[in-house]
Amino acid sequence: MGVSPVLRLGRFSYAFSGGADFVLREISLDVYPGQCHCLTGPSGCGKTTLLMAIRGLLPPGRQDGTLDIPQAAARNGTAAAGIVFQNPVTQLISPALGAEVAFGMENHCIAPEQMPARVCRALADAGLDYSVETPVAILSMGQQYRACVAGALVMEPAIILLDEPGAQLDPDGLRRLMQTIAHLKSMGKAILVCEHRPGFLADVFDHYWRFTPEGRLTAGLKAQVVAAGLSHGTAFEKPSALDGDPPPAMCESAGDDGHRNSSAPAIQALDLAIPGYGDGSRRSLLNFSLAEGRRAILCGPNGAGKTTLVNYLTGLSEPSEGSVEVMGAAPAPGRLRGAVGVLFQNPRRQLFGTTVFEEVAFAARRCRRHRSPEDISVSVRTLLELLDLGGLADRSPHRLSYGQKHLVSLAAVLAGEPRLLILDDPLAGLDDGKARKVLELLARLNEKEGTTILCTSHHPEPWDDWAHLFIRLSAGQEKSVNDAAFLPGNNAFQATAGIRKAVLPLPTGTALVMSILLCMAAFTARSVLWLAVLTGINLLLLFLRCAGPWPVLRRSVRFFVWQAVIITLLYGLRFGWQSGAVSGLCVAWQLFLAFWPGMVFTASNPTSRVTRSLARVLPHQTAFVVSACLRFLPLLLEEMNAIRQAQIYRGAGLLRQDIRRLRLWPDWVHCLLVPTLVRALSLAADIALAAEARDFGLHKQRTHWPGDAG
Amino acid sequence: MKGLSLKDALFLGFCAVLIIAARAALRLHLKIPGHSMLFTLFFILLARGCVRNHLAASFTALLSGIMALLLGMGKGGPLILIKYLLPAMAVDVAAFILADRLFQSMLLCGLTAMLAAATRFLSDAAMDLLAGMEFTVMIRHATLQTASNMVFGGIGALGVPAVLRKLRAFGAIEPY
Repeated sequence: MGVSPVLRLGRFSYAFSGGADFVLREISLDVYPGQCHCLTGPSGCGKTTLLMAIRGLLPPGRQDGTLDIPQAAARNGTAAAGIVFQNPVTQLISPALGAEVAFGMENHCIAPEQMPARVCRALADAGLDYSVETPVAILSMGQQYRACVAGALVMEPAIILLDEPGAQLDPDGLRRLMQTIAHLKSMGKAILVCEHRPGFLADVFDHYWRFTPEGRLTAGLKAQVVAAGLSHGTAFEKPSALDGDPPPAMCESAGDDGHRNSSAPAIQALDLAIPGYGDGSRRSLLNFSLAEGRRAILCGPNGAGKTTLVNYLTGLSEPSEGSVEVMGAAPAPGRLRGAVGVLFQNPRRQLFGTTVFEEVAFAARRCRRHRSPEDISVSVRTLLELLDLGGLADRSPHRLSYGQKHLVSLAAVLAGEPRLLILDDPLAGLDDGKARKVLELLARLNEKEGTTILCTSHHPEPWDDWAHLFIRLSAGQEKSVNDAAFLPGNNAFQATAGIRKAVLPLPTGTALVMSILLCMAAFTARSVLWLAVLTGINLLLLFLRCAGPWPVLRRSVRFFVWQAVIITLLYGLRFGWQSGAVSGLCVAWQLFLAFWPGMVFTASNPTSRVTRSLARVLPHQTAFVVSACLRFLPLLLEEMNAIRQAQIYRGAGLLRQDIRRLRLWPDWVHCLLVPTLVRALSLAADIALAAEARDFGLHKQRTHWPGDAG
Repeated sequence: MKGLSLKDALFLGFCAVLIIAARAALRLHLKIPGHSMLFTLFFILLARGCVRNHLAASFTALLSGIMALLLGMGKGGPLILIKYLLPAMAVDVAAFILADRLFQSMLLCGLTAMLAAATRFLSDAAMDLLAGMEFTVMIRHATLQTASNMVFGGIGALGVPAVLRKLRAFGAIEPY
């Protein structure tokens, strides 16, 4: 080949600092422009480690051989390699698409006026035909993944590294990603993909490699991919097993499994409205009935509402339309605790035991109180053996690999021996061998114990012969929005959110200075007239600057009354009610005026704009931490709620009525607080990795995307 | 901040976020002065126990103050920063003096939290004085608030060693 490689690995080996052994061993690989290389191998074999080594994200450790990217840092404002990790949700750092894609350029101090053109080009190359003002939250999982690809492409890297795209994307998302990869290859970009099930890539990859469990790379044949049954491709057009093709609208396929049982169905959904991703306008209506002792699979693409349905079935949220019954009544955690086992998406977050054995035994102890400790011990060890976890019983679940944690979480749900299992994507992130093992175990539970099972998945093919009932949920086609041209500083974001524009728009910095001055003026006020003037100014600003002034005014009045009562009371006690009440009221008024400008300021400026303004005065790491934490706060609270729900179903005493039982108080710490903190730690690690992968902290200063000027 | 990795800074940010979230949740249900100190000092101590940086607690408090300002929860005013910072600085000083012993003892955690909560007297009194409140009333007002803060802060801190032990056993944070 006449051209030189963009990536050259020569007998490259790596071991983590303090690690006894190499995790990557003597890897040799040349990647040329326009090539796509596919790496596969079992969980924990070192695929992600290799990608991180190439991107320079690994901590210092023992290293042998060479790792060379010849075009690295050839030009300013570009990155040698762009990397996209498995889960797009924790990689999307900014609320709007344009700012998100521009994040890497901000870190490279690219001039703001150059950003829009590069962002639009990267979005087009990633196959995202969306306005730069589009909130990332309304994108489907597949679109969010491609937004991450655009965020990598904008830095014009010579090579793009993709880590397990198949784990999160549905068949349609994978097909679109494959088209994107083909387009990037035609542009001369090199691509390196790590994937458990690389079948969907068969048409685009040029070289296929397999990792051995010891961390060595061996060449594989393209034909092996299909021959090994790893392909997703044939399953793209999987029809509903029940009623043929669904109507073209976004309604569902539904029905029952034909198995009639004299008892009430385990699950029954009637005209249940399932909102899809985005603004909620796309929805499916679902009707199905699952008899006791049967197993069902609910299939649908990302954003079709599978997790929403699981939330309805577990009582985590209530449907806006239609009804759902679980075991004969509306689902409520208090009623179903112990009888229903629930595995939420990303089940690893529910782990809190100090050993794998303790983790799995928890549900058995709580839900099967009549059994002796010896009996529980035997059944837990048997379950662990069935899932190949027997040798890990005394290890901390936190220190296990991704796939092993997933299996421990599943075992922890099964150990309670529930009559009904609701499992949200139980095969996500598992390699083929482990996925097969889980399917066999579930089938055995269903046949021998009569456990009713409902699973969700976005890949229908592993479930072909497994399910008695196949329910398909459709989300319709991805919408294409191309109606808002890029206008720096426009308010399209607020308009879509239905926020009324303020009468007097002011730059955030000016508003902040005004707020501080008004606050200081309140402390110097010594007469009623002066206090009245300040009140008038604040009131005027409230109505001119706030888009919705009445709720802010109500909140302000409530605060004033509360403050005034306490202070007037204290003054009354000290000086008598006649003179004390008036003085106390004046002081309370003054204190209130010191607080009020801040309330008006925060109500009149969107948080994203304030954090952007703060970035101009605070150290950029502090400003980034503030904006990232505020952005991920809803996610963390949502996860906390899901953790609580999952633990309740495992028998933890986290219901409101459990507060009366003192012996269950430790559950709030061990089953809720500790997993939430562990989740916060791992979320912090994921966000930091995503930011550093886009060169956050490269320079002391950053520039800023011009589309959200404050 | 010097010597603080982005990952640790983000974790401290999440602790700050949890302080704010707990404050928001409690404000809806309770009307007891000082009750928010329960979670404020719990998370500030926890943050310092998880991240080995001499200013970890102060950084968490600074972030809490900024977020409270941004979310309009601090009843306005930049003084909210001082209200958060003073107790956190006391925690950082105590952690510097007592080192790891602080986070292994319920008693030390409780005492540190009460001391930290007592620093709120200064910010409360300063604010009342600036507003021109009569001296004796100011003393009573600040004392009442501080006493309540100390009780709640002390109670909140008692759970810190157990949670840290659990997180260490779990392998989520480094051992001593």
